[in-house]
Amino acid sequence: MVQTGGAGVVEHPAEPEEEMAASIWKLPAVLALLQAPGVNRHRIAQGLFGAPSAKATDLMVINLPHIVAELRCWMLRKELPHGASIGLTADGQWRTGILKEYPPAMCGALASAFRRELDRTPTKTGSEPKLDDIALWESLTVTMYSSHIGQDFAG
Amino acid sequence: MTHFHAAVIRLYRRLLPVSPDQHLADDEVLSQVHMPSPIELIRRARLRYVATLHHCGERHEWGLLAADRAWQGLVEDDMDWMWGQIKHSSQMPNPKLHWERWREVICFHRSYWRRLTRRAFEHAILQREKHWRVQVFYESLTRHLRQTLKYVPHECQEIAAHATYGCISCKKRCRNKAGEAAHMFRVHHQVAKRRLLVDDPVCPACLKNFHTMGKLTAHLYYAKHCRRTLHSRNYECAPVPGKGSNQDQQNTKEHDRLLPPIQAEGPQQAPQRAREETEVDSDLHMFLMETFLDLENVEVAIMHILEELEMRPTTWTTWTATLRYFVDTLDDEDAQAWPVSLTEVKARLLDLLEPMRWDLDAPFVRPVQSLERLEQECRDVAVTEWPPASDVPREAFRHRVLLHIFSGRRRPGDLQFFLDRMEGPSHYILHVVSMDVVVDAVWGDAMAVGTRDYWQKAALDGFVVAFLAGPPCETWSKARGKGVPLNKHKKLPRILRDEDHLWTAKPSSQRAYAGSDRERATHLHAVDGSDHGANRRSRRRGAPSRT
Repeated sequence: MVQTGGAGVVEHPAEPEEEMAASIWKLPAVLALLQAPGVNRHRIAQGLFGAPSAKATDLMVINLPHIVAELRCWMLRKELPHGASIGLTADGQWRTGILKEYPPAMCGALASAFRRELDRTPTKTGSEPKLDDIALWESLTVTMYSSHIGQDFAG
Repeated sequence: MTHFHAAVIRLYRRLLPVSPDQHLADDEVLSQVHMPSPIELIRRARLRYVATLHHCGERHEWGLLAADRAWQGLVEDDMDWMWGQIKHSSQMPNPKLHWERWREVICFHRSYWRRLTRRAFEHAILQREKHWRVQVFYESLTRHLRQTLKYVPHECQEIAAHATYGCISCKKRCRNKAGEAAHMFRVHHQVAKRRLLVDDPVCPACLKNFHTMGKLTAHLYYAKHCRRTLHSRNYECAPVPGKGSNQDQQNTKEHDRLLPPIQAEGPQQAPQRAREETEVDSDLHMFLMETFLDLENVEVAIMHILEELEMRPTTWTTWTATLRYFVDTLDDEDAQAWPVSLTEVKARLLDLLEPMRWDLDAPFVRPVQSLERLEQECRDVAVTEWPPASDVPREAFRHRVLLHIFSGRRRPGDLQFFLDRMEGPSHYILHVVSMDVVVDAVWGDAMAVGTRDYWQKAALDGFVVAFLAGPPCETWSKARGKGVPLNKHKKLPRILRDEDHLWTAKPSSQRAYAGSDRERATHLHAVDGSDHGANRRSRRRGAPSRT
């Protein structure tokens, strides 16, 4: 995306304060990527967007200059929630499970930032995708909702 | 050991669907076949033998084995290696300190011993695959960083700055003359001139029978007199299977070290004037002569030469030798009918001796840099202040894909929910694509090489213009190793990564390894989007190919 001028966001839990704790933000690859043109790192708290706990999160943002303004615009609270998501719920599910889903306000901010960037990108004429590709993209454009929150595939 | 290693790697390589001339590093071959390395095969054989000896019971031969300190050292090293592989996933203690426990397992718990050894080798294989995938990722990333930030790393110095070798028609630079000859044989099926001098293991010049083509080749390499004699006879044999061929290996097995070279007797040709050995190609020289015979325009002649060399596979060594010979033999008499002076023609021809003219001047980059060096390069990039880069032109096609990687199931309030509710774009069509295995087992699988290639190509082609990725984070969680277990039979999730082992060096079990492995692969995809090597899961499933 850096090379093609596209836009992107990589989301992952914020870098912990503990010195020896592992984090993708300590990977040399990520540190180097943050030096590439158009790449920035922003820290947000998903709690400010409606998550039940603070859930500090870092975003690696590529070519989305308006994302900070959009995030501020969509923020639901000014104070961090004091709840903690530790242990199991009454029905035996991990309390962190719900945190795997981004709060809607955060999704709204990301959607607005993406849309703003896509809208201001001029359209060039030239190659059109193959019909097969368009059919594939449409088949992967999901329209059915689900309320299930499953485990991710790291086990 | 070197021969054994090479033979095993060759065997593994045959299992892969790659062409013979495709270069694959040993680690790449081992990662793709998912098999133990040659040294691990030997370790396994020794460990099995140790178990067999223990199962034989009390025998006097133990005294003999105990006296063999070298073999004992090897076995100790094997046990230590095995413990290193399984110490995080079993209760087995250090064999150096608790040998009795190991002996008990070997003697009385045979199936557990077999399971332990299998787990140790499986772990070693997975560790190697992990290392290789991360290495490939870093190589790809640093390549992109060098292009984007326009820098040259310290390690990428030219290795062979003095001599140039290569193939002109392929514009491929080689490191030495042997590489040049290997390329000409593999790609253009041109055999070395020396192989055309002989068609059996007897040297026609000195009439010595060397029994194998390998020995005869070595003889002709060092015995300059014989080589010059044969060159002077000016004949060419039909090429026969040479050194390394099955037939020659069979001959080596039958004769080598059993018989010395045997002097044969017979009629000899009359001595001829010894010719100087040159790399001049007679056909190419003839072509140059014909081109310049009725020269009307130097530029047109040069163009003809360029066209000819594109069609005629020629090494840099042959080309330079032939052209130099041609230029040296030009004289004023030849130039009488030419519209330009001899000096000018020579100058134009000597221009063709510049490697740059044939794209053979690219500096060599070290073929494989260590992972540590590549990571250090990234750290250096991270602490360097870079000048502001010029913006990449921001244009996109009418069809634009926003790829939501690891999207999970759709739900109200997700990214697509908001995008769908916005007013439709006026000048483009937006496809919000969910990429996740719960959406599509093939096209949503970030671990499948074919899938990754497809989306990467779509991005490079300019159709995927945006992405959102939230890679799984369970193996990174700072909650690991904290708190108290809910019951004594259930352990807390253990810490899999720390600052020194960011790519996970100590998975607790094969299952945990698989989890961290998937996360690693998906992280690499999210960060880079490029191919990080095959994985078993994607191959089993038959990764899609869609071009």
